[in-house]
This record gives sequence, C-alpha cells and structure tokens, in this order.
Amino acid sequence: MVNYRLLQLLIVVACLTFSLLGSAQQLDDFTLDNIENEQVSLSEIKGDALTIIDFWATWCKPCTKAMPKLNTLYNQYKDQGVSMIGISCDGPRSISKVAAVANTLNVDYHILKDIDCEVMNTYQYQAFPTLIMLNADNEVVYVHEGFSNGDEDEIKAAIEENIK
Amino acid sequence: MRSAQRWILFVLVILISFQLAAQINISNLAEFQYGKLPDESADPFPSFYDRAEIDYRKKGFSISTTIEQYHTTFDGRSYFDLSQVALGYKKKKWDVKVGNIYETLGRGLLLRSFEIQGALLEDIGFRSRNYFHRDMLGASVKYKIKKATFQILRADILNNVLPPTFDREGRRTDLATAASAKVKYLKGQEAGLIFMRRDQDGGNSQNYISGLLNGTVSGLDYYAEYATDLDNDDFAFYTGLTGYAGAFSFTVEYKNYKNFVLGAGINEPPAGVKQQTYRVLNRSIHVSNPINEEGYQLDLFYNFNDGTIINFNHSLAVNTFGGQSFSFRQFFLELQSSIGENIEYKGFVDFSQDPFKGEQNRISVGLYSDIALSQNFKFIPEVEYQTFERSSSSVYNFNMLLGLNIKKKYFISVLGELTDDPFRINEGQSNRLYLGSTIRYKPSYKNTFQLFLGERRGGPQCSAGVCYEILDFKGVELRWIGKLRI
Repeated sequence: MVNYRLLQLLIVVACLTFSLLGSAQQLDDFTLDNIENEQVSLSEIKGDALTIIDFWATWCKPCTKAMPKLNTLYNQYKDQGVSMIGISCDGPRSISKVAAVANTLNVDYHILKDIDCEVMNTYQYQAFPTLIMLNADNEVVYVHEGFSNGDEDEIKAAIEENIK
Repeated sequence: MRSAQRWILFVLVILISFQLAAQINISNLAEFQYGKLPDESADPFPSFYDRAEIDYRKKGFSISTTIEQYHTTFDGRSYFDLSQVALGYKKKKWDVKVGNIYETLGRGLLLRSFEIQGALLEDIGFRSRNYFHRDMLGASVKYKIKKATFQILRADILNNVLPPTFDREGRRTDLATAASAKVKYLKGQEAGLIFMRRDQDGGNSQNYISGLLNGTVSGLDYYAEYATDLDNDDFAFYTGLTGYAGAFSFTVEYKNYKNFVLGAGINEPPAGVKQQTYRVLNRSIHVSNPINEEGYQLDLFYNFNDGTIINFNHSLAVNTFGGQSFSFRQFFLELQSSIGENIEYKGFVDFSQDPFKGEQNRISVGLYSDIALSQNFKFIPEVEYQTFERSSSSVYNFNMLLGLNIKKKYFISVLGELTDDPFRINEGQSNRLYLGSTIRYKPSYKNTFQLFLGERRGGPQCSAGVCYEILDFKGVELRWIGKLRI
C-alpha cells in the first residue's frame, strides 16, 4: 500500500511539474479519406494562417447545429488564409450518413472521415463537438468544446485574435 | 505488480527527460462514488476509479501509457493496472503501431476496436469498474499512398466485459492476424480485400475473407462489403447507398448477418438502426445481433433555409431463432428548429414494435428546449414520455429534466424519471421515481468537475455507436476530467 501511495504521489508531482512548464500542443500530419473518397493530408489542406479542425459526428445534435455557423465563418475568412476541416468520428454504425449530412447542411469546407476517431483520441479530446485552431506551425492555439447559440462569436473572436 | 510499477517509473523518467524537446499530453479521469445499487441490501460503500493517460510524441514517434486503478472496500474488485503501453511511428506513407492499439477493418464486419471517451463499464457479475474500450495488444503496419492502402496486423483482442482483476491472458482469448489491401481506381472508386485468421485459446482457428466496394457514382455514394467464414457458410453482408440533392438527403442500408459473432465478440457489423440520443429511445434501442439478423434502414434528412431540420428514420431488423422470427420495426420523426433568437427546440415522435423484448406498440414523444434568459443564463427543460404494451398490460416511462446553464461554465440540473414498469418497481409499489441532480463546473476545456447526487436509472445505453449496459446507482458521485499539455 505504501508503494501505491508513493507511486501516486510521483504521478501527481510529475503532473504538477508539467502543468507549470506548459507549452502549445502540436499536431502531426495525418491522412484521411474525404467524402469524395480521396485521401488527403493535413499538410495538403491546412491554411497559410490558421487551420480550424472541428471533430463531429452525425448523431451529435450540437455538432450539426454548429456546422452551418462554422461554414459562415469559413466563407468569411477563407481568403485570409484560414482553412477549415470537419473530421467525422462516426463509426461503422453511422459513417454512411456523413456525406448526406454534410451536403444537406451545405458545408463548403473539407469533411474527412475517421472511423476509429484516431486523430481526436490521439490528442485526447473527448467532447463532441470539439473545435481546435492551429497556427501555421500546427500548434493548437485555441480549443472550444460543445456548441450553443452565440459560440460562433467566441470562435470568430479567436480567429481574429490568432490570424494576426 | 512490481514490474508494472517499474514500467511506470521508467516511462515517467523518460517523459520528464524529454519533455523540453517534445510534447506531452496527459489526461486524467477520476471518479469517486459513495453509494450502491438502489435495490441491493448491502450498505453504501466508497469506491475510487482513476484512469491516467500519458502520451509523449516527437516528430512522428510516440509512446503512450495508460494507468488504470479501482479501489473499493470489497476484496477482489480492486486493481492497479498498467493497462496500455503503445509505441507508434507515423511518417509520410508509414503508420506503425506496437502495443495496445485500435484498428477497424472495413466497416467492422470482421474486426472492430473502439474507445468510448469518458464511459466506465461496471458489470453486475464482477462489480468492478473499468474503462469502456476494446483495444488490441499486438502490432499493425499500414502503408498509405494516394491510390492504395495496405495493412497487416496481428493482435490479441480485449474482451472488455472482464475487468482488469482478471489475468491478462484470460481477458484476451482471441488472436487476430489480418492483411488488407484497398485500391482506388477511376475517380473516387475503391475496392478492397481483407483476409483474417482468428485463433482462439484452446486451439480453434477460423479463416475469413471480406471484399468491399466503395465509391461515388452520379452523386450517389455506395458501400458494399461481404465477409464470409472460409470453412463454412457463415457470412455477413452490408450495403449502403447515400444520395443528396440540395437540402434533401437520404441513406438506405441493408444488412444480412448469419452466425457472424466472431470469438468473444471481436467484430461489430453496422447495426442498421439509428443511434438515438433521447433518453427513452437510447434505452430501448435495438441492439444488433449478428448471430442471425436481416433488415434495412432508411434515413431522410431535410434542411430548410431558416435552419429547421426534419429527420425521418425507418428501420426493420428481423432476428430468427429456432424457427421463430422477431421483427423490430421503428418509425422516427424529429424536428429541430428555433423561435426567434432565444429559443431553440427539438421534438420527436417514435413508434416501434419490439417483439424480442416483448414490447408492442411502443410510442415515444419528447421535447427538448434551450431558452436563453439572458446572455449568461440558459434554461434547459427536457421532457419525454413513452408507453408500450408488455404481456397485455400497459407500461409507461416519463422523464423530465430542468437545467440551468450559467455563463457556459456552470450547469445545474435535476432529472426525474417515473415508471410503472414491472421490471423496475418493487413489490407493493405502483410506480417508481428516480430523482437525481447534477452540478457541473467547467472553467475551461482542461478541467471538468461534476457532482451527481441522488438515484440514477440504468439500462442499455448506446454511445458513439456502441451499446453497453449501465447499472442503476444511488448515492454521491464526483468526477473530474483534467487535461495537461506540455
């Protein structure tokens, strides 16, 4: 029992140390299929200034509520070097609906399919939807979880702040 | 256990040594409970569950570990486990993973692993608690180029019903060895072939093959996969077609599964039934049974200019056992819309026949609202009602949630669930009320604190496409989810 406590104490101390030393999270390049069934990499579709990644699923109501608002932001900022990517985490049960939902919602930005939700899990994001904003070096500069009315204003403010 | 501790210390030393030159992601889920199953005679007892995931990555190389522990006052239920260690290398065309990995072949007809974030599994038989996931212990090598993907893997699949109190070998009795190739041809067309061998502890082995076609033709997306056991006539066939025109879209799916539960359940063919987020529908969802199931699903979706969305879904699933057929039928209609800028709502009507569960003429209705009282306050009322006939008597389920969201950081809610289901009420009772309250504080995405007080109704639950059973609970539960980025 003493060993367990010592071990737990070590973990806590390590975590606290890490938290004091915090720095930006950075995404590695990844490759997924888009809804046109073509393989695309983050490096191919990232923005010159910012890349916004929205992790979503067809069964997630706040996700589908957010997508038209995100699409508006995308069209507003795409000429300023902002790219937007929606990564669907739909598994085998609902992946067939991804293209249908994205097209019906008139989404203009890239939609990629990640049946194992590997990208989202790798970087330990857990809520749907989760939106992350990357700078030109793929460093995460902004994270937003969930979506309710008015959140698009917060996301817009974050774009304005980080696009500089 | 000493070996596990040495491993953890080793990994920590590595992480600390390298943290200046790389990035480290840490997430932790801790949950303290003081309570019991509402109907058990035992006294309430305390328990503590924790799962820490530490991930180190640098220039395509990664090492991750997961430490899972559960402590309670009962002998035989507690454990401390280094439950996952994985090494990965991802660079350009190569993706190599060794250790505890997640992979799905095709649409899961042969093999599916998954991780349901934040979900804990507690089996009524073992009464221990563990993370709800199905990983594989082994290795996978994937080679991706624009026109093709090749993969080989060999891994022991986790039987996630068994908690870490079981020995490691006992939890992984199925060994899968697979090779797959997917080739893209013309524009947006893909064909694939998967071969898999499954060796079960005890010497049995089976060989399977699966072929798939996937693509887009004239605005229609199609997917078809057929998998069969090479040693007998067992098979699984799944196909789906999706089309869209302007604001309208449809998806049609067909499935036919014959004796296709592989091993301890290492595969999961598409269910072909809509996953529901409404409480009464999620709880009474049809769980696909690949031993013998045939059926279809139709999903229609229309998006009006003002943002109003209508969704209609119909599914049929026929299970035949011992010459008797059970036909699950569901008709679901949902409307999502808003009134002005401050009121959003969604409502549904559902009619189902579920003879396998003995539930006939099941009617469910519900209305969820989100009312902005001011910029910082939102009132969230949700109400659902369900009724059905079982053994010639009528049963109802009613639930109501009243929630308040303050400044997007605080969420306070009270959920009451009333039922007269004979499977739920005790002798002498005419109905039963489950009453619970949740208080959540989320100062940022890095930390979420949640307190639950009261009684919670369990039952089947489906999340991220995977269904599992949660137990009733009565007591106090405190959960913390934290994330650190270095």
